[in-house]
Amino acid sequence: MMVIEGFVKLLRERKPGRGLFIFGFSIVLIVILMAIFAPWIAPHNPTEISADVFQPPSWKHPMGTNNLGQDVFSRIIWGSRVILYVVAVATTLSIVIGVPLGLLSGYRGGKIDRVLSMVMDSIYSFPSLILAIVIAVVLGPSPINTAVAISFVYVPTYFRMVRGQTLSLKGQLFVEAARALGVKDWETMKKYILPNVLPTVLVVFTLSVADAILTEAGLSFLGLSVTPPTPDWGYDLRVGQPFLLDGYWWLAFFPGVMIMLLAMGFAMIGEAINERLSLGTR
Amino acid sequence: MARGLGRYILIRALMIIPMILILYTIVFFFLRILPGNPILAVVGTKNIPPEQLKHLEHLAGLDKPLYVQYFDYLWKMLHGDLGVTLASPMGKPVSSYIALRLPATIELTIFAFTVSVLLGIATGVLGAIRKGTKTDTAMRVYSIVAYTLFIPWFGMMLQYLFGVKLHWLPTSGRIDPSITSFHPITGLYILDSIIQGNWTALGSVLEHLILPSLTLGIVLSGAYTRLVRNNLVDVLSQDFVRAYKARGVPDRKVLLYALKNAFIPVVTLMGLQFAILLGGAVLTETTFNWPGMGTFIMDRISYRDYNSIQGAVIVFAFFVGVISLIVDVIYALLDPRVEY
Repeated sequence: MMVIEGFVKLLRERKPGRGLFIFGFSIVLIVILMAIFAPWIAPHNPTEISADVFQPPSWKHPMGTNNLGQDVFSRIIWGSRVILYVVAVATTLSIVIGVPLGLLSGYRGGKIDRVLSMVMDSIYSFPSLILAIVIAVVLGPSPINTAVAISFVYVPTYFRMVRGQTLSLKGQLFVEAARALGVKDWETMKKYILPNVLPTVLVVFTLSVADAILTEAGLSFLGLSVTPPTPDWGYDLRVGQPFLLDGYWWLAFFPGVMIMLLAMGFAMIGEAINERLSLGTR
Repeated sequence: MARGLGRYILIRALMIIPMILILYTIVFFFLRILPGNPILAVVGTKNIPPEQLKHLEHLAGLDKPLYVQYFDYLWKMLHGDLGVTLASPMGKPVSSYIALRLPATIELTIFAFTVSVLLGIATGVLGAIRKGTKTDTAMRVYSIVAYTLFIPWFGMMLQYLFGVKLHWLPTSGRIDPSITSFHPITGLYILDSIIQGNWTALGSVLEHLILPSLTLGIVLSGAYTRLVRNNLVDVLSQDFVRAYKARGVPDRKVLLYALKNAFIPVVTLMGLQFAILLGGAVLTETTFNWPGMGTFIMDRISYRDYNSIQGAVIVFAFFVGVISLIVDVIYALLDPRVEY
């Protein structure tokens, strides 16, 4: 509820960041609607092969056709499902794992904290795409596996943020009071610390979704996410590359633009929320 | 003080070790979770003679228990041995491949890094001195757009424009293959061609570097734009700047002093950006067919050559560790408040 109220506020109040928010929010909304209503919007079957290969954009094929004669526009619409699904599952997983670990580490301190922090810092400082590649390879190409690979590399982002916040909250009076009253540890974490940490999680979430989108696109560009003929932006971009050099620019151009727009939409929302809360996390 | 710094560097350097160890452990166990025999996965068919299979397994050390494999490799790693390749060609030291591929990635990342920092500072300064104007907004939009550019797509668009349409620049590889007079020594082609005094080769190497390093550099510059702009705006509103201005110090000079102060947090960002840069390098290398570490990992993945992937990850971890060490030392030298 709090999140929805915040969104409405950002939309209505004339304060800095409103333009950014509206712009970003519209892009994301359009892509989400595209994904939901794909069967009704797409003019053609995205996997149907036809003899009309390499047709430039026209009224019949707004974004042209690819090397197999598939309609690029329909593939773009259906492709939004894969990327949104993967990113949604991945970020949910990393929040579900990262937040409790961060709480535990920050609250308990001691050995657990030192070990967890060291592991998380090591993962955090390593190039996330490379680690995601290794995990994606091991798990094999499928959207759910890609999501797991991406979630793994974003756990430390949430962990570090939540741990830091927990550390500073732990010293505050209301937490000490709860402990003095004999409230159990996990209940203190759940009832007193977690609600105070959640706004930060929201900001980290909006800022890292754009990254996660680019990581997903990167993995599928490298051929590690879906198997053909599933329509997928990153993979379609890769397939289009050799033909781009022959002058068939529409095969690669449109999937890439969509990836960028979606990432930009989320980045703008994140930027606007961050500016409003002025937490200055980045 | 000098002794203190030496100690600081040493302690900071020792901190790289657990990081490499942790990443090695993660990758080792992830690669072993996979069901099936990697040798069979490589050979493809199950009808190779059992003795030969045994021999290959022995060669790769796969016949030993998991923990023995783990510590064996660790022990070898300490001696700079990253194991042997598991797939075509089989049994070659992984380090010999890395010696070939790493310089290409180093060359690309150094250029891309320079492009990103210079562009980021230029756009950030422009935004800060024109604060609140349309230029400022334009720089802000630049930073978001640059940050969310998808590397392969952006690279392809540059290839299309400068390679296919204008025929100005090559779109793949490191050097024109028709130049036969060039022989790599260190693998850093710029250095090699200068040592040999081979100016045609140098020209070709530089030409090949432009598009990949611009692609990667522009994408990574967005983060600097924001940080430089915001820091510089802060610093420019501080008292010492006003004092300079009141004394009639020329604007250009004041800006330089302010920039020096705004630069310290940028150094920290450089360390973080470098990891992202290396990740981006994998995509850039794939897009531009650049024979570096990123394409090496991707090649080896198609062969399921775990030793090579593991070796490459360790090299990357070491690379990241050294860079963050350098960044921390620079930071300590720049910022007198850091205690070491």
